[in-house]
Amino acid sequence: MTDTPQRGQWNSRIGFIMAAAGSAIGLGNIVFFGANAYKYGAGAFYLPYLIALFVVGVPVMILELGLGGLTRRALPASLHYLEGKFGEFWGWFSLASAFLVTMYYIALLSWVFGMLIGAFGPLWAPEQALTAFSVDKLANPTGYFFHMISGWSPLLFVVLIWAVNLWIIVKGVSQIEFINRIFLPLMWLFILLLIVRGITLPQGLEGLYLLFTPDFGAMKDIEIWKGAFSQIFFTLSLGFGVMTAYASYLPKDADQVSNSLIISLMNCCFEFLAGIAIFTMLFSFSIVPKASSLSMSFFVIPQGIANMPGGPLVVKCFGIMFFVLLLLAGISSSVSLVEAPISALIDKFKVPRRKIIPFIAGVGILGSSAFALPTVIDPGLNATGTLGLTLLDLIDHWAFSYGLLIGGLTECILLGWFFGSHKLRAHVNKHSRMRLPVIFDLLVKYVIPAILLFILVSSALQEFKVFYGSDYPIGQWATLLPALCFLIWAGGGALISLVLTLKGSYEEEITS
Amino acid sequence: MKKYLLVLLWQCLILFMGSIGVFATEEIPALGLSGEPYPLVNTPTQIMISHASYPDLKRFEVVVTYRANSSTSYQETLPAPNEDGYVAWTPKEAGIAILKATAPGIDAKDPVSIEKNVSVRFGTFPATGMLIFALASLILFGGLVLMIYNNTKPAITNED
Repeated sequence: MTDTPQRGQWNSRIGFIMAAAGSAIGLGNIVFFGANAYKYGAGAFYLPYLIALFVVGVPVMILELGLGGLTRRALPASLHYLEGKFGEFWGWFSLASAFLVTMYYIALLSWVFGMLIGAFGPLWAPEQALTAFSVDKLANPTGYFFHMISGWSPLLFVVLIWAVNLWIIVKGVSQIEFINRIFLPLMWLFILLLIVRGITLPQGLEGLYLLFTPDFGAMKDIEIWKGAFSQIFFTLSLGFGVMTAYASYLPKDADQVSNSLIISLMNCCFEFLAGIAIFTMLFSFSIVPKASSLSMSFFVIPQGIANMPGGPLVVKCFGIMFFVLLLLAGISSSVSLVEAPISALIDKFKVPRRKIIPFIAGVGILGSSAFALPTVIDPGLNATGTLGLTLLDLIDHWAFSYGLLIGGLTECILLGWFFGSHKLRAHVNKHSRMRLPVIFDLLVKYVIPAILLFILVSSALQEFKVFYGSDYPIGQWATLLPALCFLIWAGGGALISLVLTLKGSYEEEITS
Repeated sequence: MKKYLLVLLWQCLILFMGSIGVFATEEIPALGLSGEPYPLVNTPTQIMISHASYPDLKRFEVVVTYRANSSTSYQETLPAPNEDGYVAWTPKEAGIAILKATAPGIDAKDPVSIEKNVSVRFGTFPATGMLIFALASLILFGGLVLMIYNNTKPAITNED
């Protein structure tokens, strides 16, 4: 394939690695990993987790980076190169899922920003009076969170977070690289500071013991294995075309095996440390973790920070640091999520970046605003409270939990069964210090699709028992919203993918 | 004049007496530990129930949830408290346990429920846990350092 003039290139390899690691390290790494490990047998979780990392995580990362490096194009064009329009359709479908995730992820970041403002004072008051709900008062930080999301200020924050993302993206990959060179070291510094504080808290070290002491009884349960394989997929941002888009800005002779290993290990090291930082604090203050990014970010961890000894100033400082950490991690991830469709549209329509950005911004801000809607549909706060939070929960279930896995599965099938993974392996091995063995072909062709298919089918079977969200205590909304969200993701995603696939062609480019 | 002053004093006294009722706080129902705040696993301790308005503390049932919010969570029901509200408890497992005391409501009212989280210490160094910690650290951090070190060497191009 030939280069279009709009495409940029990373200034350095380290810059690319930092940007890719910044993309992989998101809110989930900081708040979710430790709680997920705890949920699935604590120390016992690490065995399936490490197996999942090397059996699924690293090979799919090599596949995505290799594909980007081989074609020097974003996901749809890369999959078109593998299997024509059929492949391209699945590329666009992955990006459609990714864009839905981007929309709610930015709404989530707007709430993080709202909490950051609260961390300067009101968040640490004992309770919050609620006017929009039938509950009069609620203990903080939960009360502050629901008070904030039932107001209109998050809509303003949505515009602000989108503006920051677009400001980074508008200048191309060099700006993304520059920002990640600042954000990533800061994130490591903050997490190290939180570890030091956590371990020095009364009985903080016992939290470390709690996180690693295994409950081997849990390993008999298939759920722990499902949890570990899903965790690896989600934590490395695989299946969304983000890594393919980033790798497409690398020179063709980039060492994709080393890059994949460094990015994957850096991401896992970060969440390993974040787990320690969080658990030392939770044990010290006897707070039960919960395997939910939202609960951990907005309720559980801030509750721990509120208990920090040393007075209100210390509490404020750690609270501000925690929410700044979440914002940095979130923005470095959201930038990559926005960049993936932009690079795909540049490839397809051969238009400059600046012409695509207003369109992405318009659709994106509108979508994110829907997830920040303050309309109260659950006044008793028995489930999700507002319409925005309910939409976020439902879309997350489909676009994230299913979208990523479907994306990864189609990539493996298209590469392993149609294109031939040996061809990609040969290309990657040309430029790598570590040669990919034949087992890579077996993993991509048989093992990974089998694992992903098993997780997808077993999860889908659950939907037949209870359709996700249909049992929420949100009145008449419960009959409409769950089905609507599924239709938006599956139907809307398929329709947009079909239109984009049929519009224009890459044929000339591929021939050249 | 003295009469007026006496009346004023009397009014102030009444106001003061009334304000005592306003500022006095009702005792908050609570669960506590009679020993140290972080009990040790397999070491007996005592749970203390205090509830000023509930007449019979013996009617409380105390349930301990170990590993709450995990796939291996389980519960233990403790024996009934004595009349002073004390229950003996020997934590079965280290970690964060949830203590919940529930009693039937008075005069057909809702049941009374009090909850408290307690961090139970491991006490000894958990060898298996630390082995997992060391191995996971070695694989993740060792692998990362090794990869970075390898990539600082001059590149070799493999031609197939």
